[in-house]
Amino acid sequence: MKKKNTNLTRREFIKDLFHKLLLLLLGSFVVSRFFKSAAAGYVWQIDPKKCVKCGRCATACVLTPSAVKCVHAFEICGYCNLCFGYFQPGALRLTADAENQLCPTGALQRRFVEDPFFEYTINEALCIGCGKCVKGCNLFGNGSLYLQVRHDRCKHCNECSIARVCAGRAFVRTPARKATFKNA
Amino acid sequence: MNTLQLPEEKRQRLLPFYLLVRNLAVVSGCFSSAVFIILVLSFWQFNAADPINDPHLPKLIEQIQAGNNDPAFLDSVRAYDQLIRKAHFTALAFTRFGAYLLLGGISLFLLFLKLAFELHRQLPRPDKFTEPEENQAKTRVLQYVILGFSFMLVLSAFLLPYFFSAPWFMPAQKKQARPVVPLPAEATWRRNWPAFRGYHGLGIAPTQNPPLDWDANSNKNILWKTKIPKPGFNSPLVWEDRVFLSGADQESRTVFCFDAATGNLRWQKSTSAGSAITLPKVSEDTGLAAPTMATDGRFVSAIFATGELLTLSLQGEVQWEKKLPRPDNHYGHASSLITYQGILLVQYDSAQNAKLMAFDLQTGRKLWEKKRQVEISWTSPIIAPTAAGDQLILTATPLVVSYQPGTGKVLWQLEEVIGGEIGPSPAFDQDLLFFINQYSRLACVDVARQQIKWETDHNLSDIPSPVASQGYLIVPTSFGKITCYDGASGAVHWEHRFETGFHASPIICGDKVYALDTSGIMRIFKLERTFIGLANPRIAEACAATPAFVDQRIFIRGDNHLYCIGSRQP
Amino acid sequence: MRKFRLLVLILVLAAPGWPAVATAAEERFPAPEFETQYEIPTPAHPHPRQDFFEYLDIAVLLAALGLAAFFAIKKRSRLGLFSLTFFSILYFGFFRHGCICPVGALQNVIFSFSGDYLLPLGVILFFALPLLFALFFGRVFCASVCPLGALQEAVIYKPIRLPQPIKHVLGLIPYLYLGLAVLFASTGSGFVICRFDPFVGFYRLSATPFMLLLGLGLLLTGIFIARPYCRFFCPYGVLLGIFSFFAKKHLSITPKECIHCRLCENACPVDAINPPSPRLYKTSKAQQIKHFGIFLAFVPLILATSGFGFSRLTDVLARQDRMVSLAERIHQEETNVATGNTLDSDAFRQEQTRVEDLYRQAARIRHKFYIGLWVFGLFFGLVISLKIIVLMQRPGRTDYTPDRFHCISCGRCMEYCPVQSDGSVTET
Repeated sequence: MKKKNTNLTRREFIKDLFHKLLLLLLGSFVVSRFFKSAAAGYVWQIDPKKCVKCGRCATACVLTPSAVKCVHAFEICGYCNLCFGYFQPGALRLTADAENQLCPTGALQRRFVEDPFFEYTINEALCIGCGKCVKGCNLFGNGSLYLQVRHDRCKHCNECSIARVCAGRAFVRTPARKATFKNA
Repeated sequence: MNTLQLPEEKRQRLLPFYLLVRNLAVVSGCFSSAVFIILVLSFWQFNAADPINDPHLPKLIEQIQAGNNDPAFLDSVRAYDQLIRKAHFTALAFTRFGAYLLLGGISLFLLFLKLAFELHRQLPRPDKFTEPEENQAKTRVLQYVILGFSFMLVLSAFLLPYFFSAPWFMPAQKKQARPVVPLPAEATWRRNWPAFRGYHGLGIAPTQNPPLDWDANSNKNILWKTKIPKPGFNSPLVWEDRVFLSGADQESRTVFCFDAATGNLRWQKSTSAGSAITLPKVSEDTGLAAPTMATDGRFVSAIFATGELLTLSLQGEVQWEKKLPRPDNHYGHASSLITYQGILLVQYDSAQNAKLMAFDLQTGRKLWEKKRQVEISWTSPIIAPTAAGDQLILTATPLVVSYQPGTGKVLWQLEEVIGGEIGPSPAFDQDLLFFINQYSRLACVDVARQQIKWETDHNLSDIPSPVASQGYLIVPTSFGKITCYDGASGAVHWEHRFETGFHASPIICGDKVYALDTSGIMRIFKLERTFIGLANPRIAEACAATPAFVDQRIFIRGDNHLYCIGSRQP
Repeated sequence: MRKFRLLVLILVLAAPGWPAVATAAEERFPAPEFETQYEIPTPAHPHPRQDFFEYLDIAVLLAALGLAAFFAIKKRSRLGLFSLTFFSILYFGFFRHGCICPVGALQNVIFSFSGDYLLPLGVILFFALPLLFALFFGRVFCASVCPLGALQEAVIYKPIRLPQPIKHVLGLIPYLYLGLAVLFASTGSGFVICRFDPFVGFYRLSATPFMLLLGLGLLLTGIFIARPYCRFFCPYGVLLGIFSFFAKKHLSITPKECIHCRLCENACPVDAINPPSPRLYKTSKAQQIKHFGIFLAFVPLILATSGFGFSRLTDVLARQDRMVSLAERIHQEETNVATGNTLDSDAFRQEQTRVEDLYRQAARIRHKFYIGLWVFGLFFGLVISLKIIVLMQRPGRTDYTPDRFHCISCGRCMEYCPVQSDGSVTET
């Protein structure tokens, strides 16, 4: 009986030792990482320079429709009458008729401002992030349309399922504080 | 305490509730299943209404663009387009609604089911406790099962690669033994500028009569001038028709090759690490690219303050690259490279693990390495052609050591002869070795007897290196004074004070000395018993690098440009 | 030193984010000069969640863990734990949408050791707090805080007991999963735990059909085999188990002395109640030590076999890395093994990066996989060796006690115990 007791205490002792060891390990991890921590979290962000408009944003996101939408930087827009983001290549007439529009959901909308300028806005409720307009605008126009993650819709998945398949590897984890974009 | 263990009569009393809850559970379960099935079915429909990949629309639009503008047809196309858009968004809304419905249904189902279970729960009626007995067989089976399963797992991991036989590629590194590229002839060596301070690092130019006169403003005798893309304090090398130098910044450490005839950039090559490297802290006067490169006429090597060692062919292909341990050096690594019979010698006097390394220039194989018990130094090695054969001489606090350049064997060494943070490299002439450092001494060593012959502590230099030839020793300083000694006796022939100081080391061309000062003025004077100034031509740029002299031409690296100076042939 | 760290922090924080509108803009058409009063609109840039919510999450996690520990150890309330489970489903699940959960945070922690990635404070605490609580109170996180566990907790109706061998074999999977997750996170190839998270799709109300089916399947299984994901997959559970094993306090089945009534014997849905161990053994102590010694001699062999076996998977697994598969594809295209370009190879060629650099990078990643798989193999060998050694032990238990490694502190067993806290026994 006595022997058993010492056995027990030895077990208890080892357990206590490991308890302290694990506590030390966890503590030193937290402390060491704490001084190197990023205050706010990260958000996913597309680097428009690397984006190749492959169209996977529309299909790969865990959300339907995708959290990626087309965004318009009005300040570099040419307000063209013939907008390569808006019209089908080879469109016969520059009207808003369905057969002339490039956008598959009619999310890119066109409004006459003054001769010869037209304003193009995006209806985000309709935009599915396919990037067709972005491709057109970048190929022939000023490139004022670009795809970007909308942070109010994005679920901030730890591993972004679009980033995993993004052909241009344009998705970047960006510190949340930096990720407020303003136009120049 | 045990609220959920119900006695029998209470259970009976609660029976109607139980039945109600059970029925509710059944109803909500059926409802959820129905919603689920509808959702699954609509999933296919949803996929069918995909506005991006609709198969018919592009064909219809093609027809319109081909000229079919029948109003009825146009209307039908527009209606169809409208339809698929609408179908898409309706299906989306429907799915969303269904998901909420399903969620609600399942929550209710789980809740009722839980309640029903709780209302109908019976206590277990276990037998009396009996003393447990050892079941050896059972434990053994468990052990074997664990081991067996693990073994199967490891075995399948082992076998799996056989079923994925797609060949793995490796980076194109063909390990075929490359034929040894022959070394250039001795005469070729002597007419080029293969290292810091030229052939063997002795500071003696292979040419007798470079121009005495040039001017950057009127472009007189300036054959060409080229912008240097990246900063660095290392000196240019010249090999036949090519000029090499290196430059570095945060982004990359790069070797540049210019055409010696035109000054055009022939190629440039950076180390592979690029910006993905932690830069050492270096002082502004030293920078990341202070060490001068070296060539053996077949390959050209560069080392940087990051410890990156890059060897290229003269055409700019990477021959080999190494990352040496990061130099622990508070100003930045500055010792230049030197080559000897196809061997690259690297003086690496870091705060820890100071050493001298020798690499095969062609393959990059490390041939040998010698530990050095010295402090950090910024000097460069020279190869002294003594009467007893070539000796590699290195100075660093507190030692002056002579190595056999091929094997690294220590031939002789003088201990406790020099101190401080040494910058100037030694000079050699007629079996006499001169070494110097500020706040320490200038001393002359008889190499044959390995004894100090004479020494002085006047006008010591901290940056530029002395040069010796024809019995004279020229000692420049960073504050502008140049002293000419008699090499054998140590007697001062003359002293002369210039207005500006020197960082570049003076070079002897025949009977003339060319000393480039920090403001870009070349002080040219006679190698004589008295001071006879010959000319003071200048370029309009600060200079720190020692110029290169080849074939009646001078190559000067200013802070931003590379100049080629030579008399224009008609 | 502190100052230097701050500086580094600022530099790293300042590094990403593109100047202004970083489109690949090219001014082909000049900006119009409007004659009307038209004003150029500014596009809206919605902000991500406020920082406030990050801190709220931490506070809620801390409070939930504290409450769970209180219910499990002090109050001994199954009802409390169960209610907390519902709260977790609502808050950590439906409100916060699951990301980042402590289970996935494990990968961020590993990733932060190998790259330039700085751990956000929230992630550090989400990873460390459940472990800290496990080290003092057992796996109270699993009991009612984890949103993955909570969902499975809600569907346990008819838990059955798995045969011991099956239980032990399935119990090895979490170690493999842990090793795999660490391997992928440390090579920067991805976060597998998040990729194959079966339940987060429910919380987002959006998931791929495959993950949805996996999640549903696990929940249906969970009706009979309680908490299948927690017990047979969850890699974080391994860590929690280890920490819980050395816990200062732990939920106990009975508040006083065990009376060996056997009521709790089948109460545990996750089979984590250890019955009393035999008092008498046929084999002598000396014989036991001899067996133990023989086995110890075999341990190096087990480690080496396992390490070598798994290291053979290098190519198979390295190919899961994007850069490696891209390099392989480019190589196939360059050597005409594959015809035609993929979107990815086209995009790579647009970047003007040298092919050799890509190959070199791929080779570096592959080498990391090779080293990582050796470590993985050694780790797995060590795990099975320890498992065997533990089976050889003679625990010397006299009462029914929770298995501290596997017990998830759900508190069901406490309901079955007829012993009251004052020592009296309720008759049934």
